[in-house]
Amino acid sequence: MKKVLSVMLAATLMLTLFAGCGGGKDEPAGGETKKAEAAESKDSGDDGAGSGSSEGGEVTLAFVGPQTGDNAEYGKSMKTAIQIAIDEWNEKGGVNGQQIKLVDYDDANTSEQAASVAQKIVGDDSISAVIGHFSSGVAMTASEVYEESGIAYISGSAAHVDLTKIGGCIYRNNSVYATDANTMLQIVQHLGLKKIGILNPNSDAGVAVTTEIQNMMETYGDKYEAELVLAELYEDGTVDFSATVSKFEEAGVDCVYSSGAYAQTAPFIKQYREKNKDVQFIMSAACFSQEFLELAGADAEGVVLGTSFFYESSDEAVKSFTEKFNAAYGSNPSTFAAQVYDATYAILYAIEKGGSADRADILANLPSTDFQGVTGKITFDEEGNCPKQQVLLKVEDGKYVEIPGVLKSQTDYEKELGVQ
Amino acid sequence: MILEQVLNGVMLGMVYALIAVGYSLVFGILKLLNMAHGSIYAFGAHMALFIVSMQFGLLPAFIFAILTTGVLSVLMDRIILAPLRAKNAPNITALISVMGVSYIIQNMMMIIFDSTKKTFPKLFDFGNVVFLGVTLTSTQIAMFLIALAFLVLLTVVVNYTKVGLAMRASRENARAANMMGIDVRGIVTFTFFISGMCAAVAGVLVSGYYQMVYSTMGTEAGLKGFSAAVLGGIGVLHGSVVGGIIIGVAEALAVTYLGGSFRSATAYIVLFIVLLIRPSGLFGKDNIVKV
Amino acid sequence: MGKLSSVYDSFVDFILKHKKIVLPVFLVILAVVPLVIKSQYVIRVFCLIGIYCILTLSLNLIAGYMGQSSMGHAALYMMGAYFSGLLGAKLGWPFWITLVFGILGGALGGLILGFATMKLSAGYLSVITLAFGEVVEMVVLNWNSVTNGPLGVRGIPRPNLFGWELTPTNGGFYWLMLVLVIIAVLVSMSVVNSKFGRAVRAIKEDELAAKLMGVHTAAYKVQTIVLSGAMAGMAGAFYASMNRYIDAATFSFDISMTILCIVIFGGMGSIPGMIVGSALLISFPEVLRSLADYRFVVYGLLLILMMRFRPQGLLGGLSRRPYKLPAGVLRPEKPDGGGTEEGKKVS
Repeated sequence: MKKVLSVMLAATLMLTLFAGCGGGKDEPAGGETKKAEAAESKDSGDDGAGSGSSEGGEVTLAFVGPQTGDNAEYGKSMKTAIQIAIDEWNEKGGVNGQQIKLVDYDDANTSEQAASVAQKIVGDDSISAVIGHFSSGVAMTASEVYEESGIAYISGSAAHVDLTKIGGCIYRNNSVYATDANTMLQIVQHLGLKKIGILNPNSDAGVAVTTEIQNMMETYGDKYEAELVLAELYEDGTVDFSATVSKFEEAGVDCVYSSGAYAQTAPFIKQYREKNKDVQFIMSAACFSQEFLELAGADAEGVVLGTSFFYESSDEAVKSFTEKFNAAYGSNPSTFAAQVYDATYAILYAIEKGGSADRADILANLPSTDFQGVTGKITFDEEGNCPKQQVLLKVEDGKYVEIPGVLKSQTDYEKELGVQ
Repeated sequence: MILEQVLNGVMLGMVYALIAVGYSLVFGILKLLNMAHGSIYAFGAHMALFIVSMQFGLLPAFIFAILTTGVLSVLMDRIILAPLRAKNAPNITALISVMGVSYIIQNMMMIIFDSTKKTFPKLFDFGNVVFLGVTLTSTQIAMFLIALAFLVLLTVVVNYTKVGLAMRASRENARAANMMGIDVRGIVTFTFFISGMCAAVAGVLVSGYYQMVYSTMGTEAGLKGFSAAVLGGIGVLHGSVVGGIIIGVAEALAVTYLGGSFRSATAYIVLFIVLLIRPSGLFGKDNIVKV
Repeated sequence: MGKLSSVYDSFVDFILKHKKIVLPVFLVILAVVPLVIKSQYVIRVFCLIGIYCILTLSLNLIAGYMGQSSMGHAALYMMGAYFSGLLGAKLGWPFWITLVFGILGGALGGLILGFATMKLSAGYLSVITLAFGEVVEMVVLNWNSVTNGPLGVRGIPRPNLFGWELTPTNGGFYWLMLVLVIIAVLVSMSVVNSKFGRAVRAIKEDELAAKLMGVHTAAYKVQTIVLSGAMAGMAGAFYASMNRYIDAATFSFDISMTILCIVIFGGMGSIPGMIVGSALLISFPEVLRSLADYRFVVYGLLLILMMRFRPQGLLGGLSRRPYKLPAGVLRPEKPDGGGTEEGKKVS
């Protein structure tokens, strides 16, 4: 009897496995090579407008992100934002007269699953472009598949230096590390602080930002007043920062910068505040979220950060997006959510411009993207990065308040400082 | 500086010790590495958070967490582990089963409470205390004292009460203990309840200490607690405390002198070295066959 | 009901009896898969299954034949991937050479582990391997100048066979996977059927007795772990080349646990068990993607039910000799065998 149960279990599994394979067989051979893709696109180009989508009259975009596991909250909020963008287009009659459909996949934020999902997406001919993947390493793994198959992919959250260098199919609508580093230096100067401490995660983004700050300060030399006293790294998942706090205190810093996720910076700020009430915290856009304010509580007061998106901006598009996001998700949108929202628009504009939802046509039209999104002007440079202009926010009475006119673009700032 | 960091490490070590005793208790009697302990610890924290979020206050939350977590732990034993023992199944089956339980608990929590980090109220706030020239925060001190009191209480129960005597007897020789009239079955249930209780106490204290609760909090803490228990000699309560403190101090010193990215690895290197020198842990009885 | 179970057993027995016919047929079917199935996704999942076959066969050497278990097997896998990936990406060496270095890298990890645990017996290997896994990850994350730290390794070259580049899309990786799995199976089989294998199993049954019979227990233990490391390293080198990007986060504790679960699920000591176990448990989350959040809950339930109703694993214990689980896996050995007896009394 017991054996039987186990046998049945095994049998069910076997069945589902073969069902899965069977399903796979039905799928049309897709995404073989870039050349094959191009050839295909030519063929379908002859059919006229409706291409890419095999079901006709529908354009399909794919979103991949963590919808289970440790980072599910990011995946869910990004998916909400993309859906809002798609709904907005569908309300005005879709793109090129075709309705837009979103299919979503879960990669649990692991490279192994992301690679499988990416393969599934490129094999599905109806999908025109991909948005998503939360962590950099995961996005890097999946990008190799997208690049190989020639499908456009835009990340709204990955910060890895090399992401867009993978190839011409990979785009990013997120601040690059240099922008973050420069923003932080501008904030320090604006606040008249002298001794900087840095606490970054020991991750691709954290290490890159730290290096970039060090490089910039070296270039600026005497022209920049503050000095870097201590640069620290922490392991992913750290919750106890007492030893790190003591180290910063010993070094006598007057401000601490961190580009880490709110889940780590909030406890750090709390633990630091218990020992020192005066130190100034400078954060990155990763801490621009309702969850950060809740988690850090009263200790969030006075924290400043630079972000490319602010939901209380007077911009009409931002207002409408924030309203819709609030209705759908129950909280204000984070920077990442806003960035994938704009990424969706970028793809849809490219489809509109090319008059086709073909993968190759989207790729051809993405470089000339130029529109005003909720995260600023959206254009892509040669590598596929979107230059971001950030605004300075400060936490006052448990709310983010914009301090206008402080942050400039890196080139303007360097010109003002007198360095080339 | 060094004194401050050592004290930081001791405080952190108490966190690990609280979790480590849960491993030790169950291992002491059943020779089972309860890999679900980390998840059960997170479960306890979530139960407390649930009551706190309904505005019932901290004390009821604490009691509720202890009871539900204790019951969960007992249920795990009754439903999953007891039948395996009845079949006289090898120990590894129980180990895999508790890993399965761990998967289920952690993912159910993720589904019900979602994966965001949630705030938990601070337990104590009476300002900072300067001790030997080192500033200690009130949460650190409260955490240390409560954990210490709890661990002492636990040691007293195991070593100086009748129940504790029965527990130790069952550990030494379950068959003989049973023949002497000890309700070994009841003792196992009791042990699981206590271990669940420990997990809940640890969960609430640690959540109050860091002021946050999240569904995967048991993974990292569980591994560190487990290492602390093994380092001190698994099955020995005071060993767990010493093991926890050693790991905590090692981490604090690693952060100070090597940098934050060497934190965990240093803890495991210490464990590595201790096990190479004393294979059964610092206070463990030498029941490892050495060839 | 009992009938069904015996039908299953006799079915498997039938296959085992006629393996001379069944095996080649099975192999031919497997070999033509990329020609028949055009979905790249399915091919990729097959490749992943292949990787786990190698990894579980590797752990099976330690767990199934030596009776010890490893909770840090992903570290050996990672060493293979990094050795191979770094040489390929940084020095531009061809895959076939970096594959050898990947195997050597895994073997080196095994050697370190082996020496560290040579004098320890039984359950503490699992703790040591756990610690070893963390230490390897630390080295990879912090030795920036060599491993590229948290940035990971990018642009790992694809294998090239006489001018034909193997990619996941042209089926090349699938066939390569098939060859590597066959190598792993052959190595495992030869280990079982050799003097070496008998010595290793003697250690598992009774280490002291084996030593008294003149078996160099320590040397055999180290050799087994080195061999196991080499196989895991081979899987790592394959993975690195298939994905072209690796970082430390890929080879997490979860991977170690998955490997261990598959070994137990498939049945320790059973080579077909490893293959069937990998096929089922790796395709399982892929197939059950629709279950989304409940995927891992089902996974957990599956483990519990397996342990309750078929603890010897799917294919373990099919031979007529009584099945014996390795003693002391994750627990200190009790010479009098008290542990299990106690358990009986307790309940």
